[in-house]
Order: sequence, then C-alpha cells, then structure tokens
Amino acid sequence: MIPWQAYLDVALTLSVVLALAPVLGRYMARVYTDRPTLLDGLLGPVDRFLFRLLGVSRREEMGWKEYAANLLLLNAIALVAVFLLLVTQAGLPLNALGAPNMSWDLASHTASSFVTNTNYQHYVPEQQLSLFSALFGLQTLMYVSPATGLCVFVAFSRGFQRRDGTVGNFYVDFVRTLTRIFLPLVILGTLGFLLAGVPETLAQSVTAYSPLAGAQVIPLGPVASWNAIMLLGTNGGGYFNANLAQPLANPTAATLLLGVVLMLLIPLATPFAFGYLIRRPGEAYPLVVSAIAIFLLALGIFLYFSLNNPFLPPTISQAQGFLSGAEARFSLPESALFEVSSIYSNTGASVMAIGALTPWAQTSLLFGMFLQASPGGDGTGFGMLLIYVILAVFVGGLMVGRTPEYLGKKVGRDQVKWSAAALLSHPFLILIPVALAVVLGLGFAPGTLNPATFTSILYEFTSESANNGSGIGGIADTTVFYNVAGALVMLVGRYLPILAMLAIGGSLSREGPQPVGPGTLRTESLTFTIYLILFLIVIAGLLFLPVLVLGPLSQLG
Amino acid sequence: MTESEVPVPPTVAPIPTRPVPARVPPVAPPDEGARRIAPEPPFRRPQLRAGLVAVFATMLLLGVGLNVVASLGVTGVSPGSAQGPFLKNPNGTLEVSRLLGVNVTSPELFWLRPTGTDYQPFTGAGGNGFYGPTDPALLNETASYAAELGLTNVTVPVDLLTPSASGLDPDVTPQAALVQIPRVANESGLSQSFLLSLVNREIVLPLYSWLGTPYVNVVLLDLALLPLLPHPPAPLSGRS
Repeated sequence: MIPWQAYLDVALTLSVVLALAPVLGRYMARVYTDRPTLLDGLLGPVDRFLFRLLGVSRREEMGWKEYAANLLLLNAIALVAVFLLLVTQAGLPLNALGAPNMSWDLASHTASSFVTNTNYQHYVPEQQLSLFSALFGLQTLMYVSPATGLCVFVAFSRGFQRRDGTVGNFYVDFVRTLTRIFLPLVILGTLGFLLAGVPETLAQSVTAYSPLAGAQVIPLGPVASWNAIMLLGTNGGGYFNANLAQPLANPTAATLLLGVVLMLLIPLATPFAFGYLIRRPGEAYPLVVSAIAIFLLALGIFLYFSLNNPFLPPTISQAQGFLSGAEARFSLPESALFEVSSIYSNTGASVMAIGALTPWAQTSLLFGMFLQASPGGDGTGFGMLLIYVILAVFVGGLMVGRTPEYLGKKVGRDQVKWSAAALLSHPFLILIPVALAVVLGLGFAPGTLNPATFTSILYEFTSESANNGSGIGGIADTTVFYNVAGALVMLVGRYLPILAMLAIGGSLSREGPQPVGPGTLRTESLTFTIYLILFLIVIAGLLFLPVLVLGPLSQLG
Repeated sequence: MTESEVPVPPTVAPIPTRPVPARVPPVAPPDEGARRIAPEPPFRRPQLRAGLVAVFATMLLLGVGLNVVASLGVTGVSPGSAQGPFLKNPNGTLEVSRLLGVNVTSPELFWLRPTGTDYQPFTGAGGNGFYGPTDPALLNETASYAAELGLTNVTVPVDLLTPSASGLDPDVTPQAALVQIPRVANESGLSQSFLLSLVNREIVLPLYSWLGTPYVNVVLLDLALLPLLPHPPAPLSGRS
C-alpha cells in the first residue's frame, strides 16, 4: 500500500504554495507600482546603473504598440544571439566534452524553444551542449522568457487600472522583474537544492570506478542554480536529458516537493498580484479558485489512473502504484503532484516517463496544455486566464442580458476580437501540424502509425504550442520537419497570444471607467466562479475532444 | 451613463477619436459614445540599444554570473558537496555516486531495474525506450526480465520489471529487493535469513515516510554484500 503520509505530503505542499502565493503577490504588486521594497537598499543602485546603461528614462510610459515592439525586439535579439552561439559552440570555450556545432534546424528549434519559455529539448544535453552554451545561451533565455511573461502580465493588468492608454515601460518592468523577483527567489531556490545535495560545480564530468560495474562517467555542472531558474521561471528544460528524474538533479522527495513549490509559486501569486495592482484584492479569488479547482481535478484523475494498470497480469504487484517510468525513491502521489504541477504550470519538467503513463493520465496532462491557464506559465498563463474571463464575461453577459464588462471596463469588439484570436490560435497551431505530420507521413516512420504514435505526435505539437516543453517520446523528433515546424509553432504560440494580451491591455487602458449599475455582472461572486470553471472546461473540451478520442483514449480499446 | 437593458437602435455617428471605422456595426451597446476614449499614445521607435544592453546584461549577470558565483562559492565552502554525494575508494578515487545506479549483472548480487541507458548517464537515453501501458511489448519485456531474474512463479513488484524515468534509478521498493533473496541465497551460498537482515538494514525510511516512500538503494546494498560473498565475482575494474 502507498503510505498515507505520501498523500499528506501532497496536501501540505499545496498548502505551503497557497500560503506563500498571496504574500509574493502583494510583493510583486509593490515591485510593479514602484513602491519601496525590502531590497531597495541593495538593488536600488543596480537598477539605476542598469537604466543608465540601457539609456531608458524610468518615467517614460509606453502605449501597447510601443511596449510590444520593444518586447519583440528584445526577444528577437536574444533568439538570434543564442542561435549563433549554438551553431558555433564547438569552437567556443568551456567545451570539455566536445559538443559539436548544432545543425541550423536543431539550433533554431532549441533557441526558439528556450526564448518562448517552452524548453522543449530535441538535443541531448549530455552530448550536444557545451557549458558555454548552457550558461551564455540557454540559461540566459531561461531568465529572459519568464521575465517577458511577467511584463506581459503587468502591462495587461494596467489596462484595467489606467485610462490614458499607456501600459507601462517595458524596460523598467523587465529589469525590475529580474532584479526584484527572480534574483532573490533564484538565490533562495538554489540554496534549497544545495542543502539537499544537488551538485553545483563548473566541472563538466567526473569518473567513478565501482567494484560492481567498472567505470562510470558522470556528467556534472551548476545543477542547483539551473534547477532554481528552470522551475521558478516555469521553463522546464533540464540540465540533464532525463530532466528532474535524473537522480543527481532531484535526489530526494524533499527536492521534488521544493520543485513543486517553486513551479507553482509565481503562477499562483500572479492572480493575487493582479488583485493588488487593480486595488481590488477580492477579485483575485474567483481566478485563483478556478485555476486550483481544475488543477485538483486533473491531479485526482492523474493519480487515480496511475495507481493501477489493468493491462498487466496479476503476477505483477502494483501495491505502490503503476511505477513503470517512475522513480522508486518517490511515492506515486509525490511523482503525480510534480507531474501535474509541471504540466499545468506549463513548466514541462518531468520526473516520470509520460509515454509510460496510462491513457487517462496522459489525457489529464494534455487537457492542462489545451487550457494553458490553470494556472499556466509565468505571466502568460494568467494572461490566458484573463482572456478566458473576458470571453466568459462576454458570453455570460449576452446570455443573461447583462452589460459585458469586467472590473469597470466595458468588454467591446476590440477585446473580444483579440481574445478569440489568442484562443483559436492554439487549436490551429496544434491540429494543422498534426494533420500534416499524419497525412503527409512526415512525422513517423512508415508503418508505425497507431494510437500511441498519434498520441506522441499530438503531444509534441500541443506541448510546443502551449509553450510547455514536456516530451512524451515514441517518435524520432530530431528531424528537419519536427525542428522547423516545432520552432514555428512555438514562436507563433508564444507571441500571438502575447500581442493579444498587450493589445487588450492597451485598448482597455484608453477606456474610462464604467460606473457600477444594476446591470453590472458581479465577478467576485461564487456564481461567477462556478460559471468560470465550467466555461474553461467546456471551451477546452469542445476545441479538443475529437483529438483526445483519436489519441490517448483510443489506446484503451 | 447607466446601461439601458432595452434595445435602442444603434447610432451611426462616428466618434472621431476612435480609430475603428463606423461602417462596421458596433458589437458594444449603443451608448458607447458616452464613454471617454483616450487617444492612442504616441509610438516611438523601439530602442535597439536598450534591447541589446538588456539581453547582454541578463547574460552576464544572471546567465553566467549567478552560476559562476554559486559554483565557486560551493567549491570553496565544501568541495566534496559540489559534486553531489559520492563514496570514495580507499585510494581516493570516486567509487560510486550514492544517487546513480550501476549495471549489476552478477547473479549472486541484487539487481536493479531494467534500463535503456546501461546505467551510463552520458548516453542521455533517459526517458526513451518505454513501452506504452497497453503495448503488448510491455508484457513481453516484463516477462523476459522476470525470467532473467528467476522470478517466474512469484508475484513481482512492477518497479523491478519496468524501467525508471531516468534509466539511472539505483532504488527499488523494499518488496523488489526482498523478492530477490531466494535467488541471491541460492547463487551466493549465504543464508536467506542473513540476506533478509542485510536488506532490512538497507531499507531507507525517508523521515519515517514523511518525505518519500520507503526504498532500498540496490547499489549500496550490493556494496555491503560484495565483501561478504564466499566466492566474489571476477574483478570488474576493466569493464566500462
């Protein structure tokens, strides 16, 4: 039997996250409204130095188009710089293990993957990435991409609060996100992993000589600090190919649970930060409760269907759960909590082999990536949730004859148009490449198409479009087709919704407030919360039910 | 300013400050004209210098700087722990990581889970080579590994017959170690009760099961067993 303490671990870990989230949310709101914070004495001079270096005036406000243009420019610079690093890494320093230059398509995929917060890895880190590329390249993008996401969140939020058409200054938001939010949290996370015995060194390997099996070359690196930003930034790309299943990176259940806290912390603090930013803290609750409700539902389904694989004969004992593709040092509830937290926060880190999971467990993970917002990745996950809310308010307003408005701003044509674009880009980006891969035979070896292969292809593009980054295996995805199609899907899947979020924020910012009247839809109410949860489930269900039936669920028959 | 719930015919007068042309019928209720719409803020060209500096500052301070400071700091404070937990040979070379499995094939030792990596972390093969949960190949794989282990007529825990996520897992559930005792006793000549006490000693209860589940680290178990074997296996040091 699974020890009952394992279930309690899960409950306690989630309680810790939920206790910390409002505290961090309040702090984030202070950071983004330029109010004094604890770290000002230390980091104030750093900020001022950086702004002088950047040539940016802190008081210069931007409209959404200018904010978006600067955001895209910065991301493009980062993308190109890292691409160039990856295709020339063989000749660069810190390459003790002789990683070759990446091919143009693999480098495109890798750089796009890390700049879009996806961190889908088509390369094998142990063999194809130098330490130089890891630090100057990928680690840099692991800071740039979640900071970009949080900038989008805060610009979007300002739309509800301002009435002059501005959404903030991108560079101020970017720098303050890194110095005030990520820097202190990453230092704390790194210390946590260090205390638990995770390696942190610039040595790239050691060799062990064991009397049991001879020599074993062991890859090493700055794993503890890599883990911290990989999880806090909802990045999810592992220092090792086996991601956080690799025992060196994730040695004990304590590091696993620390990882869960780090992944969920910022996505769940964001709704609270939103509440404080718009000076209506109560409005955070319907959003947090909706995200948590769907998360818990998914966790329940995942865990229940991972306890036992009915296709195995009774001579194989599954007393500790169906542990194929799971690590024995973690209990099944703990592994399940990590996996669901990772997929639902669009981190994409992994401690289980997703290809080995039962069909319903795979389905519950896919559903989180279809939704992208419960709670979703840093900044953009909450942005998606606000987009769902705008659509829910619009649809609900039409159904009950209330004015479609949210937080005192009228939801009009502009907002609904952009929301629909962000929502519908997701199925387009998943279903069209899946169809191309299947119908044109580009995505699988001849004669191998079956429900499991179809699930792999579906999972690949879903993970890329959702900027999730978890992989299921089962198909050879390092081909030019998968690299190029994947890079395009990730880039459009990232920047189209970001443009939509900024455009909505910008257009709302130009509107004057709408006075509360008898026709106003009360979004703080329990009724609205329940309505929002059902809306989320129905919308994602309607968009994707057919492919779920063709993919994972057909493995049942 | 309050909303009227009674439909009013839409007004056609275009609002000059709003960029949306009036030829498209408005979706919003018709009293939109009553609201104040601020003009769109001016658009300045994106700041190339700021973008470049921001990316390279992030690279140097966080991407590189933070990792280098942390690594050098840890190496300075506690050089051993920079590599993670290792056991050392008497001559000072590293013997084995406490965290990584090794490929044990001697029948008189306890075995680890099957793997696609051969327990060599550099293959980076973790996460590959899994059979789906309903794939008939999964049944074949588990049956053939059970046969290799000599466990054909007993109930075997699923973790002993299937790969771990990393392909490097040194651990198995306590049941998966206990079930191997008859074979190890048979092959090594040690008594079952002695092996039982050895396995029981190696069961890890992380904080009394409060953090993680009970497990046995097979590598440490085998290292404890190796010097006790009446006929130790041939030296393996040359093998890779």
